[in-house]
Amino acid sequence: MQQISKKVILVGNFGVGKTSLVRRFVHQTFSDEYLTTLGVRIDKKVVNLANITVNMILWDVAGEVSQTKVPASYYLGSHGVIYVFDLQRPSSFENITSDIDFIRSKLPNAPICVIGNKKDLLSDAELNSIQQNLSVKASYFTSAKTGENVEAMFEMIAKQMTE
Amino acid sequence: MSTKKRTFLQQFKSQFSPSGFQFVLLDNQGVIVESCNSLFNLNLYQGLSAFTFIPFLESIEETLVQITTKDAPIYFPRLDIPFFSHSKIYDFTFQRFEPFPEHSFIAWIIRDNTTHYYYLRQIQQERNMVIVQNERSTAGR
Ligand SMILES: Nc1nc2c(ncn2[C@@H]2O[C@H](COP(=O)(O)OP(=O)(O)OP(=O)(O)O)[C@@H](O)[C@H]2O)c(=O)[nH]1
Ligand SMILES: [Mg+2]
Repeated sequence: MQQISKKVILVGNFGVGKTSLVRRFVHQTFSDEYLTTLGVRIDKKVVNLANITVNMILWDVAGEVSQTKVPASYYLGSHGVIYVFDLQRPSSFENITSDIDFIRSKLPNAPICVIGNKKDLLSDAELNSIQQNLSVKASYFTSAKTGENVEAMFEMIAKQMTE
Repeated sequence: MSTKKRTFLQQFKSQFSPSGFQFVLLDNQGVIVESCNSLFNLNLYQGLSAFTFIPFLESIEETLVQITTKDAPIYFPRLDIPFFSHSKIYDFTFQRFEPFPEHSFIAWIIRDNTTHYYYLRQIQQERNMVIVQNERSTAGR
């Protein structure tokens, strides 16, 4: 079977759960403790799709209020982007439109997947109301804590990168 | 014997450089051609393509092989990479080194900046936690 390597960067505000999503996906664990990421942390997971194997190399980037603060070199050669916000913290999705525009200007051809995380902390009614007011459509609402939609989200971006 | 010809400052300086730095030359297939091994020993991997066993390099292979002597060095600050150990934070710089047209390398400079970044991480952690807590208390009002 054909095998390819793809670089995926996870960006967004701090404390939204980027590291937790990677940990859930790669190591099947979760911790309630918050330990901020400095710079970038690299992890790898092999994903088997129908007719191709994808070596996903995940760049878990330290959260910033604005994506313009992320070192420009981190974006170099990225094949996909996961933009994470915290469903419970409106400030983490205030700048979503300008952030996505900025990322798009850096990586015009990479798929960008917008994720609302910490789904476990909200009721369905609250989720609906957030969804309706978001300026950018979210691909998934996830929970790194319960694992809900985590696998599906990473698989979706793996597929998009191979299309 | 060469120490005699050096000035006192040069002798003093030689105790420090190149600690904290490692210099590596890769060919365009990622094969480790030479490494000074100051921080970690890559001898075991000599002759192998680093693109195959260091995920960081694997993920940016396309970018690295395209660097030319005209490009500015590419700098990656604050890297936490399991291959090198999660307790350390490194800075990487890549540039094209071409001593002769038929000898072209990807030069890779590794710097261990753990002490400095450890301090920075503490500040970042405190800042982030204060901001999140403030938002929570305002939302609760
Ligand atoms: N309830 C709940 N808590 C979560 C979830 N994901 C992350 N957290 C918590 O949120 C906090 C921040 O998570 P991290 O994964 O460190 O966030 P981050 O985006 O990597 O943060 P930075 O590295 O500072 O940018 C931690 O206390 C996690 O336990 C989730 O899905 N549900
Ligand atoms: Mg993190």
